[in-house]
Amino acid sequence: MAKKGTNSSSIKTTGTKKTTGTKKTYDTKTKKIKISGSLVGNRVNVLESELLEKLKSIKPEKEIIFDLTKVDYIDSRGISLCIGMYKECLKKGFDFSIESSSNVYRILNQINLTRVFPIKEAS
Amino acid sequence: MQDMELLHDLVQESREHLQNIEPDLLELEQNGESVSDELINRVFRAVHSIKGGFGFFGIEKVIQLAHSMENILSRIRDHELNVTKDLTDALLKGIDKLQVMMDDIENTDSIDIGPELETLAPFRQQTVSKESKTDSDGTQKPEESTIPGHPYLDPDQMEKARKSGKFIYNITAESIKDIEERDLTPQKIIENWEKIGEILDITVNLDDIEQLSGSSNKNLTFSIVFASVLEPDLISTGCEIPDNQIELLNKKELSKNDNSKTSDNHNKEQESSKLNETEKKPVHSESHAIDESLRVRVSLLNNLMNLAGELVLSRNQLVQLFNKKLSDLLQTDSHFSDFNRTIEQSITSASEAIELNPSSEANTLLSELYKIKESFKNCFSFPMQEISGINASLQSIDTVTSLLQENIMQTRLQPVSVVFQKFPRVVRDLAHKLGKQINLEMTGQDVELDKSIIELLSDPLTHLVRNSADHGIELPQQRTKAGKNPAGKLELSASQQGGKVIIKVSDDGKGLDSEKIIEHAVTKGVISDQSAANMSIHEIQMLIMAPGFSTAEKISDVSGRGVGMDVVRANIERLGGSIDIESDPGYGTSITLTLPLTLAIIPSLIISTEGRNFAIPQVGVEELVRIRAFEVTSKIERIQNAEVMRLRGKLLPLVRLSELLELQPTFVHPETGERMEDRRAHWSDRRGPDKKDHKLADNRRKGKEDRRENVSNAVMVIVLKSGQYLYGLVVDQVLDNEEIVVKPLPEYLKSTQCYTGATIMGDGKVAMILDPGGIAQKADLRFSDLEDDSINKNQNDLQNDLHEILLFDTGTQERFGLDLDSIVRIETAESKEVELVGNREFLKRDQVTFPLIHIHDFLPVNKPENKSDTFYVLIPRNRRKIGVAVNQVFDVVHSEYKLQTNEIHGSGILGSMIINDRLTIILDMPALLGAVNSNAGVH
Repeated sequence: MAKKGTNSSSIKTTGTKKTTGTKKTYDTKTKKIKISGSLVGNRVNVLESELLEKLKSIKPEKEIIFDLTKVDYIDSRGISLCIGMYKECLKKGFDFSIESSSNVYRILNQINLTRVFPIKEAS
Repeated sequence: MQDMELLHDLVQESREHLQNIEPDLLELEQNGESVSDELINRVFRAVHSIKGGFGFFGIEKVIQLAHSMENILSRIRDHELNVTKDLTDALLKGIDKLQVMMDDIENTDSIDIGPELETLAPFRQQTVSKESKTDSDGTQKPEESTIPGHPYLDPDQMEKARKSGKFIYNITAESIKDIEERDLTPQKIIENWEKIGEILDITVNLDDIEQLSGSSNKNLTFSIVFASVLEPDLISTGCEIPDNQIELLNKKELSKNDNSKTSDNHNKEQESSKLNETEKKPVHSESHAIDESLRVRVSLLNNLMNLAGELVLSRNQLVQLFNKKLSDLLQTDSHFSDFNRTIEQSITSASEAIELNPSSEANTLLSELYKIKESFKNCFSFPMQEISGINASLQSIDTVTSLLQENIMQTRLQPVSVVFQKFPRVVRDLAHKLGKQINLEMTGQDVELDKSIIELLSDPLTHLVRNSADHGIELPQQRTKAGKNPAGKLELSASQQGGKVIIKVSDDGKGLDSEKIIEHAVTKGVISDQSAANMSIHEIQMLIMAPGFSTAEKISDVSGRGVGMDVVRANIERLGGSIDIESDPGYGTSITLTLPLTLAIIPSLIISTEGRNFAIPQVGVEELVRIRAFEVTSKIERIQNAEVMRLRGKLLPLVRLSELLELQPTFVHPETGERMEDRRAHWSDRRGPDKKDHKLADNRRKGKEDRRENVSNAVMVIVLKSGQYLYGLVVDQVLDNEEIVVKPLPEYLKSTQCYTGATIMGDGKVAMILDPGGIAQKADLRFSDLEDDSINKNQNDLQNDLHEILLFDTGTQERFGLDLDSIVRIETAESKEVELVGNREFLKRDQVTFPLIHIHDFLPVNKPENKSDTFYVLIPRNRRKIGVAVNQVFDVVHSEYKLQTNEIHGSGILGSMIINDRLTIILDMPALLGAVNSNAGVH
C-alpha cells in the first residue's frame, strides 16, 4: 500500500569512489546506499524490502554508508529502519554509518543513536 | 483563547491558594515549632501547586519566586529552619508579590521580584549549602548513576533540574502506540515536551529490533528522562503518555514534601514507583471531594438572579390576576344561581298554573322554559372544582418560585470569612509597625452575605480595623499603666439577626474622648460651639463619622487622613446598611455595622404621589408623620422661602416629591372623585379655618364637612435620613410595605439623582426606587441654616431657662417631672409583655429585649400598690436601651426650674417644684441612669 507520487524515492548504490585532496576519502571497501525522499509511513516498508534485496547483492565489504543526505523527514518507522540496517550490518560484519541531512541528523542525535553508530551530518 | 481561559482559571485558583496561605503562615509564626505538620504541608502544597500550574504556561517569575518559597517551606517542615518573624515576613512578602503578579499575570515580565528573592535568599542559601554538604558527605550522587538504561545521563544536568524544583520522570514511549497511532513523529514529541520541561536523556531500546527484515513494523521503545515542574498527576496529560509508562525518579524528595519523613536508607528502586499505583490514588480521592462544588461565572448567577426576579414578578401578577378573575367568577356564579332559582320558580308556578288550567300552548311554553334552563346550565355552569385545582397549582408555583429565588440568592452568598481572613495579616503588620500587641479574635466567620455586599465591605472594614489598631488600642506600657493586659484585644464578629447581618469591630482600647472630639469638631468647623453644648454623648461619638474629621493627633500612614470614617459611613449606607458607635472611655470602642443580606431584594415602603407609585427603601425611612388637614397651617412654616415642618421641637426641611419630579400637581376632588389640576403656588397655601371664613363657619353650622378639613387633605410626610440629617418628603399616600426586587436603572435614567433603581409591582406597573440621599441633593437642602435656627431657638430656651417638662406618675400619689430632652420616646406597654428573668423585668420590642426599671427601685419614693394592665414606658437617651415604667403621662409644660432642694433630695432627684398646683418631683435622668448602669444587674 505504498503511496505513490510525491513521496517517490529511490535507492542508489554507488560503487567505490576515490577522492583526492584533504577531504574525506572512501576506500574501495565502502559501499554507499543512498535514499532520497521522506523516510516515513508505509514507504519505509517498501524501502525495507528493497534494502534487503540490495544488501543481499552486496559482497562482504568493510563499510556501508547509509546515505540519508537527501532525506528530509524521518518518523519512528524510519528510525526503526535505521536500527534494522545497523543490526543487519552488524550481523553481516559490516561497519555501518549514516550520513544525513541536518534535519534527520537532529532527530537521530536527539534520540542518541549517535552513541550507537557514527552519524555524520552533511554540510 | 482556550489557553487564556485556562490561565484565567489558574490565576483564580492561585489567588485562593494565596488567600489560604496567609492565615496559615501567621499561625505558623505564632505557634512556631508546635505547629502541626499538616499545616506546613498545606502551605507547601499550595505554593507548590502555584509553581506547577504556572510551569505549564512557562511564567518564569512566578515559578522562580514560588520555587524559592517552596524551598524554604520544605526546610521548615524538616525542622531545619526555625520560624522567626523575619522568616514569616520574607514569606509574606513573597506571597504579596505573587498576589501582585496574579493581578497582572500577562505582564509578569515587567515585575521585579529581585527584592523578594533577596529577602528569601538567606533562608534559602542555608538550604543550598546544606544540600551540597550532604552531597559531598554521602555516596557520590547516587540518584543519577542508578537510572537503568541511561548510562550517559549527565549528573550535573540532573542535579540542576532537581534543585530548581523539578520532578524527574523516566518515561517510556512506544513507537507504534504512542507515536505512530497518534500521527506523531519522534521529532514532534520532542518539540512538544520541550515546551513543558527539559529532556535530560533519551535512549532507544536497540534490543527491540534484531534485523532489517520486519524492522519497520516492529515496536521501538524509547526511554526518556524528563524533568518538569508538572506534578505527577499532570505529567501524563502534559506528555500524552499513559500513567503506567511514567515513573517518578525523585520520589524521595516528593515524599519528603508530602509526608513528614522517609528513611534515607530507602534505595532507589523502592522510592521510584509507578504513578498509577501510588501517586495517582490520593489525587483521585482529593478530586472527588472537590467535585462537590463547581465554579460558576458571576455573570451567569446575575442572569439567573434576574430571571428569578422576573419570575417572582410574573407570579405576583398571575396571582393578582387570578384572584380578581376568581372573585369575578364567584360573582357571576352567584348571579347564575339567582337566575337559575328564578327560572325554577317560574317553572314551578307555570306547572301549577297548567295543572289548574291545562292548555297545549302553556305546555309548550313550559317545555321551552325547561330547555332554556338546561341550555343555560350548559352554557354558564362553572366548574368550580377545576378552579380550585388551578388554585392549588398556582399555590405550588408560588412556593416553587419563592424557593427558587431563595436558592439562587443563596448561590450568591459568601461567608464573611472571605473578608475576615485578611485581617490576621493586617493586624499583625499593624501591631509590628506600631509597636503594639494586639490579639485578634474573630467569630461568626461562617455568616453569609451576598457577594456584592462582601466585595464592597472589604474597604470599610479594613478601615475600621486599622482605626481600632491605630487609634483605639494603646501602647503596651500605657495599657499596663491603666491596669490592662499589655496585649490589646480586637474583636471582629459577625452574626445574623432576622434579615440582617450584624458585624461588630470592637477593641478594649482607650475609647473615644468626647472632649477631644468636640474640640476637634468645632475647630474643624464640623459643628458650631452652640450645637456642641446640646449634644448627647452618643451624638458626639457619631461626629467622628462627619466629613473632614480625624481624631488622630498625628496623622499616620496607617489610618487617619481625615476622610476615613465619613467614607466608611457613606459606603455602608450605600449598601443599605447602618453604622453605630458605642464607646466607653477607658474601656474600648465598639462599632456595629448592620447590613442587609442582599441588595437584590429589599423591604421598602410603597408610596404614591400624583397617582404614581414609588418605592422607598425602609432603611432610609425614619418615621411617618401625618399632618391633619386643619393642622397644616400651624405645623408647616416657611423659612427663607422654603417650607419646613416642626417635629418635636426640631425643624425639618420639606421636599414635595411631585414638585421635585416636576409632576403636574393635581388633586382628587372629594365629591366628584375627579383628578383636577392644583393651581396653588405652595401646597401649604390654604385658607385656614379661621373665624373670618364665613363659608367654613357656615358649613360647620350646617353640619357639612368642609373640603379643607377633609381627611383626604391631610399631608403625609415621610421623614427620611440622609447621612446624619433628617428631612421630610411630602407624598400623597402611603400604600404598603413590600419586599421589592431591585432592577438596575436603564442607562438613560442613571443621570437622574433621585433614583437608585426600579422595580415591578404586583400589578405589573413599574415603580421607581427613590434614593433619600439623592433627593436631598437634588432638592439642594441646606441643613446648616435649619440647624442654626433650631439651635438659636434652643439657645433662647436655655437663656430663659425654659424647660419642657414631662409630667407623669407611677401609680402613687406622687407626681414626677422630667426634662423632655432626656427622653427619646414614650411607648405604651401591657403588663403581659413583661418577662421576668430572676427578679428583673424585661420588655421585648421589635426583637430587641431591654430591661424595664421602676423608679421606686432606685429612688426613695413610694412603690405603687397595684400594677395596672397597661402602662407607659419612657425610653431615656442612653447608650443601652432601657425602659422606665410609669403609670400615666399627663402633660408637657414649658417652665423655668424653680427647684426646692431642701425638702426632697437625693441622687437622681433634682428637686421639687409646684407645677399646675401640684408638688412635682423633678428627676435627674442622667443621675438615675448612672445608678441603673452601676447596678450590676442591669449592666
